Amino acid sequence: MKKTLRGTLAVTFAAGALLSTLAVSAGASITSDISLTSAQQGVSFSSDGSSFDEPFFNSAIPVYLTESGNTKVGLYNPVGSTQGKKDVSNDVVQLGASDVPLGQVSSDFGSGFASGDKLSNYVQVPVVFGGVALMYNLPSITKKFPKYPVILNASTLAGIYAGKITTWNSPSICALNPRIVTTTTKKVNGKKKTTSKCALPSTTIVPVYRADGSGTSYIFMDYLHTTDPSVYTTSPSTTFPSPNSNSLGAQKNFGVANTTETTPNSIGYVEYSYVLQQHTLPAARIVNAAKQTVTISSKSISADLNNIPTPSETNGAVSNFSAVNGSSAGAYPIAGFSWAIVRADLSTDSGFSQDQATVLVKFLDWAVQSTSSGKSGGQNIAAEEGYVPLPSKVVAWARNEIQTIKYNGNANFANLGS
Amino acid sequence: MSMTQDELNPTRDTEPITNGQSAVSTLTPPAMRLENVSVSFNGRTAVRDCTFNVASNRVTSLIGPSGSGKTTLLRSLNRLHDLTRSAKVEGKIMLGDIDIYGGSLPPTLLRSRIGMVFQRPNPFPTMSIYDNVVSGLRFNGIKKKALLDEAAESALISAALWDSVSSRLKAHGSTLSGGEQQRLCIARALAVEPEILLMDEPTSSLDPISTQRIEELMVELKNRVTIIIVTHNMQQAARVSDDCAFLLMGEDRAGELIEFGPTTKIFNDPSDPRTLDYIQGRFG
Amino acid sequence: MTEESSSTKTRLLSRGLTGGIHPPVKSDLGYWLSIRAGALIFGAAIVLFVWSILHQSLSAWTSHGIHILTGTVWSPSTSNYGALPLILATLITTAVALLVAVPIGLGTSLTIIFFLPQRLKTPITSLVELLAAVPSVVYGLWGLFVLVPWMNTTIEPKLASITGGGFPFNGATNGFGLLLASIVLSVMILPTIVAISRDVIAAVPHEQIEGALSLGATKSQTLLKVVLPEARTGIFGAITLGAGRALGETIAVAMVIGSNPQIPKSLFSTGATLSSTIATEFGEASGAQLAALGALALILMVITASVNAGARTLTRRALRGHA
Repeated sequence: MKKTLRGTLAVTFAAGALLSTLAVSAGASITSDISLTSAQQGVSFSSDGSSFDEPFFNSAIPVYLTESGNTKVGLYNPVGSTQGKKDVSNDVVQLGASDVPLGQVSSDFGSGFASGDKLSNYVQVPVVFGGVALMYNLPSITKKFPKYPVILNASTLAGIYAGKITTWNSPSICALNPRIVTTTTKKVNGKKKTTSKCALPSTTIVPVYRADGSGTSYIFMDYLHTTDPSVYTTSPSTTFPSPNSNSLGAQKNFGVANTTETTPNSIGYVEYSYVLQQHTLPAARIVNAAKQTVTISSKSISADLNNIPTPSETNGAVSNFSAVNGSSAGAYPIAGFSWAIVRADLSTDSGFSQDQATVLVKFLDWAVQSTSSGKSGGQNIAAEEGYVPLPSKVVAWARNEIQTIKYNGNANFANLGS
Repeated sequence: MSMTQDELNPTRDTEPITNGQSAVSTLTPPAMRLENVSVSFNGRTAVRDCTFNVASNRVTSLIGPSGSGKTTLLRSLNRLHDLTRSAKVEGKIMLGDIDIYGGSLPPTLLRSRIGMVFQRPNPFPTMSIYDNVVSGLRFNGIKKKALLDEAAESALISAALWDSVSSRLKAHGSTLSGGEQQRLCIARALAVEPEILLMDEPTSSLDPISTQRIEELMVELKNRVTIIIVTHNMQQAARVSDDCAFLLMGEDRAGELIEFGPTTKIFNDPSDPRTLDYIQGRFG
Repeated sequence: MTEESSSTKTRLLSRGLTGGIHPPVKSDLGYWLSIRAGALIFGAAIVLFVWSILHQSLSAWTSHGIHILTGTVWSPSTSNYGALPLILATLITTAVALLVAVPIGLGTSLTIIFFLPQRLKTPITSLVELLAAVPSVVYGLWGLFVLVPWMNTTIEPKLASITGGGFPFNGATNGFGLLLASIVLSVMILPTIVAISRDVIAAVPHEQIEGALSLGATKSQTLLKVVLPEARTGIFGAITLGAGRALGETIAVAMVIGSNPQIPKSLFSTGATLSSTIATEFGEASGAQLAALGALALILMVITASVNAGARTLTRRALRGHA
């Protein structure tokens, strides 16, 4: 029951998100609409950014704020990672979320950012860890082989998204799917002889990608480029290049999911929760670095978490954060952190009071933990939404980072416990 | 309907012209026969019980005060009321042997046999003079240039317009003066070679000189086409028409045919006192 | 009588409006000043607007030059900013949308005026006008959820079989693409075309229609040869406004065109228009990409202005024919 309600809510939010972002990005004044609704006076803090995080924030923020007795809830606005970064730079929001840490893309602190802004003005903490699923639309195969979702590996995905593998029954895909075959039995010289043939259709693959800039694209490109740089030559960025003339671009996770659903023979990458919540298409199984075929699930996304190096930070710059292609047994290989970005000294946002700042850092501290002072923390909500709770060493690192956030020069002004 | 200039200021009070053809011809069959023709709009009768014959190659005028249904009656003769959903025409209108509302003659064919000239000159403003003249022929499917050229010239000559426009056939019809535009409309109607030409107050928007030329034209034209003209101007009716129908609005505001006969008789010796009153200007 | 007085009134009115170059009499001063102030503010706003777009895109023009107009690859991730695919998609979708919407729109107007019984005129008219009030994102969703599957399974295969898979109905069919964008656009511009053309067609004097009919013209001949030509300048205006809306439409197009910038090979090709690209990429763009999007805005503005100027020239030429 709870699940269904949440699902419905998520659909509503996602639809609203698509509409509002499209409407907003069409106009020149990107942020005014948002700040009108979410940064009204008295609201504790405002947040926007990556649509990858949207299911998490819009479940976690209301839960935290109502539990802590704060009824003035400003909902998270999934305007996209880059916009989230720009908005926090311009003090439009106090929490920006991005799938790529600030400072990784050349356009950061370029036009659209507050002039003179720099990386050391920020503290960045991972809030969710999530997987990128590959939904595919092959209704006849799904019907005929319900037990055998299509299997893909790094090099076939790179081939598909570089526009080099163009048909579903290309030999490299067929080789990965020995169960998706049609068998014929013939009598040859009185002996029964069974031959099997790849059953995947000869139709053209329609790769669906994010036409707008996206952190989800960054994680997926990170995976493709890390695992097969010879085929997928483009280094990761938030803008996904069009694979070939058959491919379809779509807006937001929501748009990719819908485009994939309406287009036969297509394949599209979306944040895992979009597969969980609203869509009927199966997700491809992926061959990981340990040569195992893995189905996307919270468990498989988290399988490699403890092997992921803990990110490190110098002067605001985060490094060592890539989490793709984990080599642990059962690890789903296309995954990454998403980041909350806040000012290193919250008093620099004039008009943002210390009380509000306290709510914000307390929320962050709660959000990165699974249990916080004996109560259920934000990571439990992340798990319900199809993300993976952050591993304990990353939580420790993140909490440490949160305590460096200042107000009027005072670190840990909210007296966060350990 | 407002009163026309002519009616308010009868400038030319010349004697009625009799042109020697006033006796109703019995030799040739009538061009049109009207039997108990009534026209109603939304069930309200506008004109009723009109019965008379229109003689061939003569000018028949429909006269009467405003609201007597002259124009309504005229427009029933080429089925222009077909455009108005609420209009209903009853009775019989015969063109030769054909009942024009009987269904055997399509309205488009009927209208190519019965031409019409309107109160205000209405040349097609987007067409040249030439295109205006041949427009009717083109509507009727004639495409051959030689035929069109010939018809245009002959129609413009008939309408006494050829001399003034032959050098500028490609100019727009709207560049002509009002009187010329009306003659262009006459030429346009003549080009289709109709048997009958309906003229609905054709000179009411024209100056006296233009009016005179159109009147002269009517008299010339009746040798080749039967003319039915609605006019407010009694002098005009007297000058150009051979036969005359006098209509008057009845008590229920429906027009009625009061008297029909040779123009000379209507104007000089009407049988109905109401006709006499109208002719003498006692009402109207 | 009434005609005389109304034409006098028109003449006086037109004198009052066109004679503004003379210094106004005292009682008119406030009116005179406020009109001029309004015009000045409006003009300044336009200049400022154009300048700001120019300024925004300046770095794109200096670093890529003419390549922005002629380049065939638009791929921000590889710093390729060639807008030719976008320009072509913009022009093609607008042209096809007009090709579909103009005949249907004119047909609708003529039907409303000449063929519908009086009691149906108002409901049908308001139904068409309702289409104008529908937000464009709704058209986009309608395209995405209803038209895409339908195009994919029915329309596109049928069209392809008509040309035997030849141009312009060749290539992969997956619903999304220039054709669908054009169809969605045509529905969106239909109310504009109907509303304006209906007014100008209704303004054609009844005498002209009767004149044609009395020459033996059929109803359709009258409409095609007399009514439409006479209303043509107004119809031009309707088409220009429709074209303006089609050129500038963003959201609905972004949702159905496939957002895959490429030189179109057929109407089934996916692509992206100037405005849909701005809408799609603006939110996440900064630096060079943002400047390039500014350049797209400038190109779009020039195209729209040219369409308007072209239409005005055509209208003037058509008007010169008759006074």
